[in-house]
Amino acid sequence: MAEESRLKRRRKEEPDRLLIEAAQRDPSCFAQLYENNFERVYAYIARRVGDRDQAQDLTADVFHNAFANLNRFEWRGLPFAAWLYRIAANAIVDRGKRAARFEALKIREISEHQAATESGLDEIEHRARLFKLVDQLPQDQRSVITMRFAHQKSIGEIAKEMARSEGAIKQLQFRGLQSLRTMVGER
Amino acid sequence: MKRVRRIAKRAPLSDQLDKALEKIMTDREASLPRVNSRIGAILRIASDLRDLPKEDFKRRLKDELQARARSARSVAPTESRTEPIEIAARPEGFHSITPYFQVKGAAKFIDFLKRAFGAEEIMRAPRPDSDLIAHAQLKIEGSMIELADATAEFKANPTAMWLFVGDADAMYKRAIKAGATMLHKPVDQDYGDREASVKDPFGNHWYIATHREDAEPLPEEVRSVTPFLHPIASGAVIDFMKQAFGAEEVFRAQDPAGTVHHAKVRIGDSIIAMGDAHEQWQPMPPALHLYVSDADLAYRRAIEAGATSIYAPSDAPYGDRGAGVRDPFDNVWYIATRKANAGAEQAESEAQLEPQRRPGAIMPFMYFEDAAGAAELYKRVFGATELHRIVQPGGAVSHVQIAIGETHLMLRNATTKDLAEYIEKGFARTPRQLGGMPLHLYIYVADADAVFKRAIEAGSEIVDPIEDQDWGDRCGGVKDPFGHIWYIATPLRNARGGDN
Repeated sequence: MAEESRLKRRRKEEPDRLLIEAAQRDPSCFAQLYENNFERVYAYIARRVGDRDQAQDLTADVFHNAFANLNRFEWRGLPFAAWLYRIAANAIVDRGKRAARFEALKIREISEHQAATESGLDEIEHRARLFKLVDQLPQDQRSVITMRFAHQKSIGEIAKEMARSEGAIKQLQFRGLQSLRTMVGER
Repeated sequence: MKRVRRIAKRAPLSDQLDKALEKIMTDREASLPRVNSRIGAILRIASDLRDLPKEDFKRRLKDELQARARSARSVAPTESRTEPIEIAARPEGFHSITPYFQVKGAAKFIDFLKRAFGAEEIMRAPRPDSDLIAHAQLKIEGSMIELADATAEFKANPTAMWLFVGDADAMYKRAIKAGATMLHKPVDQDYGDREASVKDPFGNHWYIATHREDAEPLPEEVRSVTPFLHPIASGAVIDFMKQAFGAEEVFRAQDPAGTVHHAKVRIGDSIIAMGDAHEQWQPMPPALHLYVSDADLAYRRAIEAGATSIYAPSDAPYGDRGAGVRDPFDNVWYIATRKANAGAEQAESEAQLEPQRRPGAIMPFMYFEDAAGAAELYKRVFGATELHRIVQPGGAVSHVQIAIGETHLMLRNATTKDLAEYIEKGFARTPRQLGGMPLHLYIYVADADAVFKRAIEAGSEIVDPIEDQDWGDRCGGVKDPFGHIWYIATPLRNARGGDN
């Protein structure tokens, strides 16, 4: 089962390889790599740092770093996301370090292999997929879901903003989540 | 209790869901509440959605990356990133890298270096109107170092240096006598050095070493004074140096856990040594003066590699083109290229001097209540360019040197404390303090009418309206908002705004 899902992932990542090579030649192609991986990196980081602002800062750091160092990326069969996770893991450690201002600890770089085999990556993959699927919801449901979850607004606030009753917003929220569940499939 | 639960069960599913959802939204640590089986799976989805990113964040970050991609493409695509830096021209006695000390009390620091290490003073340039040192060069055991008094902008940054000497024990004693404190006494290190460490009174660390003759020889680029870094993660610093400056890694001792115990990196004809921070050896990021063949390119690559700009490349009056960046590890790099006309022997004949510094050139020192404000005004009105400014501790701008065409002007703040004595003695007066001006500036511009108009728009008063004058200029006089009086002129044969 685990083998199978790894194989599946491998197959899915193969197009990344072509994209990486394209982006190494022409940096504007990086946009597609970003689109493909944004949700993964964000989910990975958000799961480790509770704070939304920090998660955003770190996500930005990871992609800027990846962009700057893309020419050094070598394809070794691991998905591109593993490289990004590694940058993310190190960025998180780094930030912790900086916060502790030169704590007398030796930093251990997290290797790509460690990053790729870390536990909980299936969970990250699931969340990343879920985040992407929000885009496919009907407009009303999508608005409610993003306001409620990404912007952390209350039902009352959303009702006011959308000029609907609280009951209607709760209905949209329910239907939105229900559609997402159907799209993502029972786990 | 039972009653409440019954009511909850009867409420619409959307209400029940929201109630449970509210709980997991406010308390992220809480486990999923027990709910009706029909909404259990949906609640799990909701729980995963709590980290949903904001779309505008995603969009903004993409825009940023695309902007970088555009600017990256404007860099010549054939540039090789790992190409070692070529050994570039620089002044006599310098190598590719020169440590630059920014200290509080530079004059005392120089005294200390002379007493402790037998440093030889090559030059020192004081700041105008103060005892502070703007720039000094010294040689220690044949290696050049540079230093300056720290300012609000260029803060003191104690740093660590490797110092190779003939007799580490003797030099150690001498340093302690001169006021340094011991970090560790001379010991034989297993890497072939007799080594002691001291901290000088300005906070810098010196690893005083003698390389044993029977040990493996050091690379020749290890200078008597060699910067020694203790970054949190040396690997990342080395990567930066490679990417930004084409550094070459010449040695690395790393344990399986990834800790770098010792590494040496070559840039041009200099070596930087480093080892991961541990115990009392913590990061003390230095400022390094780096000569490269193309400061603009090195600056751009450093920025691409994650450095932030301190100042963009510009021509300095002493014959270098220079830029400043701070790398992601807080090391400061003053990147410089020797300009083609800066002769190796630096013998400046009159003909080589810029016109503003040839005999007979006059640079007015003008006094203001707000020199920085005046600089902005003259930039707007005359298209002046700022050459440099001096900021006092506390942030007040005391000097701004500007150029209008080939003329340099020094705009001097008459309200900063450093000038109090001059004012008291009557040596410095602003037009307002004086109640008028004993000196008018007559300035030639390409289009007197346009400049005159801009001066008025910027708040100047008309002293004399602009008109054709019988001495052959089209000219008008204004008193600027600071009280200085300017006659703005264009030779009549070039003037377009005339009546004829």
